[in-house]
Amino acid sequence: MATNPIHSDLTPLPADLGRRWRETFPEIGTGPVPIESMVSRQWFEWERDGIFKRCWLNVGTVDEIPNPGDYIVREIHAAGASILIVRDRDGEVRAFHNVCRHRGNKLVWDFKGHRRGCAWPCRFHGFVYDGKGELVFVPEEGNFKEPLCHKLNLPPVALGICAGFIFINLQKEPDESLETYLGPIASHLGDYPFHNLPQRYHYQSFQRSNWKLALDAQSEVYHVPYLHGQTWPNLFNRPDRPHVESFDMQLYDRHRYGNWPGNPHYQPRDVEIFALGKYSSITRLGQVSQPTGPGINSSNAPDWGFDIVHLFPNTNVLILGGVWHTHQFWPLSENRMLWEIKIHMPEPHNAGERFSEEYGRILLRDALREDGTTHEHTQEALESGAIDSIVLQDEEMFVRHNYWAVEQEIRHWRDGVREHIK
Amino acid sequence: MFYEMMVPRLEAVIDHLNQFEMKDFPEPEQHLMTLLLSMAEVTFAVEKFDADESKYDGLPAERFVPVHEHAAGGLYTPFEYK
Ligand code: FES
Ligand SMILES: [Fe+2]
Repeated sequence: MATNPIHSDLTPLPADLGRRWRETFPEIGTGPVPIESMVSRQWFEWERDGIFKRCWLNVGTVDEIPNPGDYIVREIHAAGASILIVRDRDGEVRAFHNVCRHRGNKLVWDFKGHRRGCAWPCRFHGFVYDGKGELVFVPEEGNFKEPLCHKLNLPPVALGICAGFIFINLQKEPDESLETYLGPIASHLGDYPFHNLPQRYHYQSFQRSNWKLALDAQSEVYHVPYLHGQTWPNLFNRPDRPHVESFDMQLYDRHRYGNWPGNPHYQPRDVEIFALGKYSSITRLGQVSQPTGPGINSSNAPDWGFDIVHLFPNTNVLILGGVWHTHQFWPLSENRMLWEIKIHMPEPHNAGERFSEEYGRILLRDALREDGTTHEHTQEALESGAIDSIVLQDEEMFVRHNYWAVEQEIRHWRDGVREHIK
Repeated sequence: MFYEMMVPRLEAVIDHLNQFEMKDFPEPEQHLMTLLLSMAEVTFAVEKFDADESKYDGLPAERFVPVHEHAAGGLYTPFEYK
């Protein structure tokens, strides 16, 4: 049989397409998924107490606080906690509850910054804390009955770092180490040089939707030719297929990993040629940041498009041609969330690369805004009560795993039992 | 219109600007760079949506906030979300 030469560099489709993932991972079910956990207050309370107050949560990457005195603040809305993460003069990264020990004022009011001398003063009455969280200065300290310095310190928060990703845990004494918590997903994180691409852009959007449902929209490629038909035409689907089928999926008890193709025959239009071809910075992935091991582009496909590393419960790391970004979904209630996107790209060296970066930023931004519309439309429609479940195809396995993993974590915390993926 | 004027000149503009260090552009080159960057936004609208806003139904731009441009580095939780 004669083959079309244009398809010769495309990875062949597997014979069991359409059923392979449900046959590989029968443990997570095949039936309709009930919508209850997307609309109910009870589920939100379980998630709050059983997941967000207990799990290791990614709160950023070390390149957000490169120098001593740098800090970020993360609001963990679901747990009602504000967390201050600092880099101390000894280079260590530490986390504390963002609350002053005097009368409980929030210590730091913005979300990112630098304190000269690694000293964090309270705006209210001037107590000062250092990068170890120790109280180092109290105005008129002699007026207090007892000396307070080095005694009334900021309450520490457990912190761990894996491949440059910073995690915190809100349990006073976490019941498992970060290493145990991450398990096999850590080896995926370890196989990509994330540090080569600095954080360049950061978006936030408060939305009227359940956090899991929004995460779903970043967990499958089925929607791309429809929802993103104009923004991303043919960027991922190959010329012989209208849809994008995955190369690989690896589902773990909590986390998940997936590997998808790109379209090597994508034809950029007029100006896009300059942004994505000649002068491109966003497509020079090969020069800046090839995977360093089999944990990324696990199929080793030449027509690789992108990977998703999902860090349970609420972080997706997307790695694609010359750009990687994180998506985070922070619940505030069963139907309110903060969506947070951090985009990492190569530092541009000249005007052509800067133009390419700018174009890449807009390409991503406007496709994500399209996703944002579906989050809210879906939430509203589900809350109408008109349907009680959703159905999923084989390529939407990440969506199924999302609900399965959340439910298992809650069962484990609430009932002491859970199922496992073999 | 701007897009049609820029397209045939784009390659020449980029080649010209690429001769300079980005951090010390002379003033005319700085202006040209601003024009070049705005071309990214304009191109997207023209090539994908025929410059017709009604064809785009993503979240309104003001709800997808570039906090990298904000001094505070993030959004305060709106009252109705608390
Ligand atoms: S509450 Fe911070 S110094 Fe008084
Ligand atoms: Fe999307």
